[in-house]
Amino acid sequence: MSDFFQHFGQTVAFIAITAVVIGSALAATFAKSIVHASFALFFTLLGMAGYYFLLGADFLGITQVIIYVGGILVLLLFGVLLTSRSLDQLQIRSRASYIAASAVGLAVLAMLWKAIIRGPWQHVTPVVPQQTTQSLGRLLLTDYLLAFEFSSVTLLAALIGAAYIVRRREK
Amino acid sequence: MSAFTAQTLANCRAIAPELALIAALMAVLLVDLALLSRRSTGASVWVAVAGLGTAFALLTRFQPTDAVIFSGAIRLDSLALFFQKIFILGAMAVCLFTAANAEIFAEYRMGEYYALVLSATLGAMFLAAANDYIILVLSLETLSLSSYVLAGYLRVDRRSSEASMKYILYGAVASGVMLFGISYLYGMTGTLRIAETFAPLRQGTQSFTFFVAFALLLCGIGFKISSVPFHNWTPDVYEGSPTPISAFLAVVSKSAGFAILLRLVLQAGMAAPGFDVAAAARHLTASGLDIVFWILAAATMTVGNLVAIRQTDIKRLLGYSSIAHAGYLLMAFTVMNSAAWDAVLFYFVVYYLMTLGAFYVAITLEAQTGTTEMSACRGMWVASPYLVTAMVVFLISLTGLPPTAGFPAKLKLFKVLIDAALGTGMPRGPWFYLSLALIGVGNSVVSLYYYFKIVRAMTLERFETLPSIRLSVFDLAAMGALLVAVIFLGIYFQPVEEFVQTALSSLGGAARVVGGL
Amino acid sequence: MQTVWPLFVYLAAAAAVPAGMIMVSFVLGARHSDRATGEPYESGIVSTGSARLRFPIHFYLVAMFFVIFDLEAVFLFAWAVAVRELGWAGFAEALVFIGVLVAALAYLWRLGALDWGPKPFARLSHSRHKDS
Repeated sequence: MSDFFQHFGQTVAFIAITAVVIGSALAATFAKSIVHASFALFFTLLGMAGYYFLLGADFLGITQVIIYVGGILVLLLFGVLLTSRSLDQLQIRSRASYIAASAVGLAVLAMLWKAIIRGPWQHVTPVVPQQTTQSLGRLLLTDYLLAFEFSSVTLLAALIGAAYIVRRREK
Repeated sequence: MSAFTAQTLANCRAIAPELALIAALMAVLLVDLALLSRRSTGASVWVAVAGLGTAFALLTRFQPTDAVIFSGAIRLDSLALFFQKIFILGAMAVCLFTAANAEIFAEYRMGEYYALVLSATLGAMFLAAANDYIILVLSLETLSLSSYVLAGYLRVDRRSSEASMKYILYGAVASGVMLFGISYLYGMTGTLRIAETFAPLRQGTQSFTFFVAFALLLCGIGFKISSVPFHNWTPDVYEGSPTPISAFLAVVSKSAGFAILLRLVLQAGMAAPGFDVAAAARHLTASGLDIVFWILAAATMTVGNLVAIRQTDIKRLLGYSSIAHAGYLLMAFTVMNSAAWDAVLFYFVVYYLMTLGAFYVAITLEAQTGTTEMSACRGMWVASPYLVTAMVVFLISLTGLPPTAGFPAKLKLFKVLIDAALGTGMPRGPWFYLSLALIGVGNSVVSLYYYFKIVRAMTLERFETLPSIRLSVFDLAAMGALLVAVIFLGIYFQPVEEFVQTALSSLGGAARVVGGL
Repeated sequence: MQTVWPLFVYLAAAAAVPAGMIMVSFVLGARHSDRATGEPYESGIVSTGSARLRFPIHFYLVAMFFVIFDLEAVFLFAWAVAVRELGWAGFAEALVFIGVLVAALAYLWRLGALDWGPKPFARLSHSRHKDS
C-alpha cells in the first residue's frame, strides 16, 4: 500500500513538474516581451528545484532556489529594467532565420533525444541519503577541497570584474 | 596533525606556483587600495610581474613527474608544467607590453587590469593540469570571466564593450553546451575523472550517446581555440579589445584550450604512470575521431586564411591568422602519435614568440597612432625602419618561411603528416594525410599573400603624412628580443626541442621521440 | 515513505483554498464594466506613464554582489552542518575561503562600490578629483 502511494505520488509529481518546466521553457522561448520571458524562466528554474527535491537532493534543491530563483532571476529582471525600452519587444528578424533556427533546434533535439533514449546510463539503486547536506559539506572540504577554495578565487575575479564594469568614468 | 591535513599541506606545496599567483592577485588589489588616490599603475604592474616571476621560478624547480594530487583533482605531469610555463611567460609579456604602452589605457585605472590578467593566468594554469571535470569547468570559467572583462576594459570605447559582449554571449553558450556534454559523460560512467569517463572508448563499448557527449565537449574547447565553426567571435573580439588583451587571447587563452584538448585526447589511452600515446591514438581512430579532426583542421585553416585576405585592420587580420594557426595545429591531431605531439608543443613555443612579436608591433601602432588600420601604416618604413623590419620578420615566421623559427615549426607539422602518409601500419590510407598536408601548404601560400599586404602598406604604398612613431627603450628591447629569438630559433632550435622533450617525458614509455627534423 | 502522504494532502489543500476563493468570488461577485474598471487603481488617482523606468546601474551591481555572496553563503552552510565532523582542519579550510571573499569585500568597500547614493564610487572619484 505504501509502495503504491510512493510510486503514484512520485509519478504524479514528476509529470506535474515536467509539465511546468517544459511549458514555461517554451513560454520563455516564444514570449514576445522580455519581461514575460523572464517570468516564465522563473517557473523553469523552480521546476528544476522540484526535480532535485524529487530525487532526494534536498541541499541541491535549496541551492537552486536560493541561487537561481532568488539570485540569478533577480539579476535578470534588473538587467531587463536597466535596458532601454526599445529592447522590450523581442523580434525574430525574418521568417527565414526563424525557419533556420527551428530546423537547427529540431535537429539538435533529435540528436539529443536519440542520445538519451539509447544511452548506456548508469543505474543506481535509489537510496535516499539521510543527511545530504552534511555529506556534501564533508566532501567539499575533503575530496573537493581544491575546487572549493578555487571557487572563492573565481568569485573574487567575478567581483573585481563586476565592480570595474559598473564603475563610472574616473577622469 | 591528521593524515589528511599533512597530505593537504604537501599538495599545497605542489601547487606553490598557483598559490604565488593568488598571493600576487591579492597584493595587486592591496596596492591598488593603498594607492587609491594616486596613480597605482606603476606599482601594480611590478607586483603582477613579480608574482608571475615567482610562480615561474617555482615551476622551474619542479622535476617533471606524474603526480595526481588533491584527491585526483589535479594532475601535475610534464605536459601541465610545459603549458604552465609558457602561460606565465605569455602573461608576463602581456603585462610588460601593457605597462610600456600605457597610452592605450590613459583614461583607465590599471589595478583591476593586472588583477584580472593574473586570475586569467591562474585559470589557464589549473586548466592545463585539470584531471577532473569540476576543476576543468571552474578553471575554464575563471579564465573566461577574467577575459570577458579584459576584452571590454576600454569601457568608454564602444568597440571594446561590443567585443566584451560578443565574447560573453558566445562564451556562455559554449560553456553551457560543454557542461551538457559533461553531464552525459557523468551519467554514463558515474565519475567526474576525465580519464575514467573515457573508459567506454578504451573498452570499445562507446555508444552513440558517448559520441554526442564528446562532440558537445569539443564544442566548448573549439570555442576557446577558435576552431571553425566556433570561430566567429575571434576577429571581432581581437579587433575591439585593447591590443595587449588581444595578444593574451591569441597566445595564453588559445594555448590553454589546446592544453585541455591535448589532455582529453591523451586521456583516451591510460597507462600508469602517464598516458599510452599509441593506445590513445588507436582508440580514437577506431571511433573515427581523426576524421573529425581532419575536417576541423581543413575547414579552420581554409576559412581563417581566405577571410583574412580581405581584412584591412591589422588586429582583425591577426585574428583570422590565429584561426588559421589553430587549423595548422589541428592537423597534428589527425595523426596523434608522439611525433605529432612533439610537433604541436614545438609549434606552440614558436607561435608564442612570433604572435607576441606581431601583436607587439600592433600594440605600438595603437598606442602611438591610435589605430591599427593598414592604411595608417603607410610610410612606416621611413618613420621607423626598425619597427617595419621586426614586423617583416614576425610575418615571415607566421608564414613559416626560413630563416625564421616559423619554418622548422611548420615543417615539423607537415613532416608528421607526410611520415604518416609514407609510413606503414597507419590506420588510414596515405591520401588521407597527404591531402591534409597539401591543403596546409596551399593555405600557407595564401597566408603569404595577406601577410605581405601589411608589409606592402608599410613599405611600398604612397603616403601623405609621415606617421609619428617614437619607440621607447623598452619597445626596442622587447621587439629586439623577440626578433632575435625568432631568427635564432629558426637556425638553431635544439633548445626548444629539448624543452619539448622534457614536456613529453611523463607521457609514458612509448612517448619518446627521436629529435631532429 | 508512508509519511509522505500528508504532504500531498497539504499540497492539495493549499491549491484548493485559493482556487476555491477565486471561484467563489467569480460566481458570487458583482459584475460591471465601467470606464475605470480595468485601471490599476479603480478608485484612486489616474496613473500616468509606464511602470517601466530605467534603473541606475548601481542596482545591478548590488544584485550581482548579492548573487556572489549568496553563493558563498550556500557553500558555508554545507560546511556549517558538517563542522563537528571536519574539526579544526575544516575550520582552517573554510577560513581560507572566507578570507579570500572578505578581502574582496574589503576591496569593494574601500573602492566605494558599496556606497549608496546619487554618486556611486563617490569616494574614488572624489579622491581623484582632489588629486588633480
